[in-house]
Amino acid sequence: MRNFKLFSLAGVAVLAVSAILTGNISLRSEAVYMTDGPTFNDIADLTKASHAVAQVKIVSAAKSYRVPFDKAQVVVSPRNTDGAKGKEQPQSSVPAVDFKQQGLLHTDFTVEVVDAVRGSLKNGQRIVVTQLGGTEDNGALTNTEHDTLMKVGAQEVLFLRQDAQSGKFFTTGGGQGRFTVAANGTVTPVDQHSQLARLVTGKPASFVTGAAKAAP
Amino acid sequence: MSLFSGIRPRRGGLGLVGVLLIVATAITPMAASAHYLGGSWWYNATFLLPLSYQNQAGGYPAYSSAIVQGASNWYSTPTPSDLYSTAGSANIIANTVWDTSSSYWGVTHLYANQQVCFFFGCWTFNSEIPYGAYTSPTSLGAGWSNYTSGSITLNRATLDYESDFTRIKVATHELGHVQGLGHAYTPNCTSVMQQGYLSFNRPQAHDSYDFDQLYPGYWSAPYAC
Repeated sequence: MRNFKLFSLAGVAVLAVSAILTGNISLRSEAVYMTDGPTFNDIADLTKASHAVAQVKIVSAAKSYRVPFDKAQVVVSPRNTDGAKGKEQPQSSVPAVDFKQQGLLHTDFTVEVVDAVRGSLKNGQRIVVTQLGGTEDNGALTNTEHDTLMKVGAQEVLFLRQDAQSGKFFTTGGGQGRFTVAANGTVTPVDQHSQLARLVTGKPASFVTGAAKAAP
Repeated sequence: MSLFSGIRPRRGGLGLVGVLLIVATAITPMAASAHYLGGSWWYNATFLLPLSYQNQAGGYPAYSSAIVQGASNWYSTPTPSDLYSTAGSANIIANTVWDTSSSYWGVTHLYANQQVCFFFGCWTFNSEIPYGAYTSPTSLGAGWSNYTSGSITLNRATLDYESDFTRIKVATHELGHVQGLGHAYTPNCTSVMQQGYLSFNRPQAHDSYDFDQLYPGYWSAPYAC
């Protein structure tokens, strides 16, 4: 009887912990944007495409917002009829849906320039860097593949372009223009699959900033 | 006495083990494939894979044309791909955005149903697929259905400066994603699923091979790097 009580107590405790864990894991929605965009072969290439280069400290993150899609104007084109496929022309067996997306999530980060490497930025200056992705009102998180959202408190070397309309900055080539600086001063490319990753992983931050300064 | 020495099936031990298995399954990370996102659309393995798309880019002819050409590019491959446009509700939405605050050309989203189970019941939600659920080429993680919908978006703020050739490449690339293909990184192996500027804008032999591996039965493109 004593064993049964002990077992029951342990069982309830494990079930409760499991429910919490399961709940946290299942309800923690972390979606991903898959993207295509220009790629860069080396630091010189990346620098050439950037308006500024700086080592920064991420100070704060603002509430995420959506950049709205263009107003929909639906056009229908004739179905392909070429070859063997054209003879069949079946309809999709997956139920069609009405989409309710309003736009793409973005998040503005305020960053402080620690080391202005190139361009018109000054040490100590605070600028806003926009990233694709963010957090919905319900807590659901969306990251961009190879360009995860910045972490407040971290230091990164950023290759930046400036949005002429808003004055805000964004990184050149998404994650390709971001290098996280570790406490020991070495860098890790945020986009681990980029060509740049092979060149700079584990190198000191000065390797990246030096290459940016030296770029024509 | 050991904490678990009292476990016996008749005392509900199986339920406890079941819950632990669910938790273990949920938290065990699995490697994602380099060529597939993980998961797929439902496919009966002997027929075409017809998926409807609503082309919402009619206000920007260069983009609506690129989307049509991208769908046609996939149709022309030795794969079951059969993307066709429709006026009403669809499996896939193709649209545009004017986003001056990013450098990307195109973005893809995919959605699926997720069944969430607690020890007192299960619920099903339709949501965007989290990265961690893209676990294997042929299925999503535990509790996830096949894809239920997807969308591709072309960014006019960046692609306005590019050629029709590149716009078609991006549309073809994103339509590859929305059918379940991931980025290709294999050196010296051409693929429209590589990011960036390419000298081609149509699916390559490697893409057809990957596609037929993901949706096998109808066609079987030969292995290509």
